[in-house]
Amino acid sequence: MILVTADPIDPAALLAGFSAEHPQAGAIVSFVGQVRGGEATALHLDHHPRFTAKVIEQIASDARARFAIADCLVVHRHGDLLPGEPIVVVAAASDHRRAAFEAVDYLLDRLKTEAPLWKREQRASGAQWIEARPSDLADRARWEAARAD
Amino acid sequence: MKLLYFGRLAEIAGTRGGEVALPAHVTTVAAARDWIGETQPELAEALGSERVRALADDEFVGNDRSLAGVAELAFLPPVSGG
Repeated sequence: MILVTADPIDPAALLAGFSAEHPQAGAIVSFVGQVRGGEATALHLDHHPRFTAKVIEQIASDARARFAIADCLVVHRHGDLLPGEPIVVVAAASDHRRAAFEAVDYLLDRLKTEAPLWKREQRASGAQWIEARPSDLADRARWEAARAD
Repeated sequence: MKLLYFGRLAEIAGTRGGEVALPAHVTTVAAARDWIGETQPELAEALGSERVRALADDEFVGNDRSLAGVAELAFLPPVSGG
């Protein structure tokens, strides 16, 4: 399932549903991203009403082609969030754990650097739009290098 | 044609975009960037940057791309998902 939603997401329920869809899988790996606490008091996440989901569909499709996984799940929030709220849930189901771990890692690296989503952090000092960090781009590049090997 | 702005661009523009009638001379993505920058100077710097990508009907396009037949042109600043 690929979903970009303004509604609060429930990672436990999503994972239970995903697991139930894949009773044959030997491994299910999941990741939950939360709005980081600290200086930011709130987060707004802008998205493209059609293209954001389209890009995430393509990233998921690439992951299914690249790794020996049965399926993957990506649910991403947009809209207004508070620290501690889940912002993204990614999961992969596979016969053996390695493929699922790698697929989740890959999905997240590409989501961070390619999915058309824009974060604005609200801080006491004002609001600030966030861009992918150099380390995010380096993480993304690892998969290109791995492919070239 | 429908023009759309996202993230920082929508904030600068004060709008998420909408239907616009482009002047006849605006036939390429580059010309659209220039024209928007002239009519909304607050967007000129951002739209002049290569880091702001143009999306024509859900396809990333370069500045030389013709706008003939394009229904929706969106400008996307650098992303920050995940």
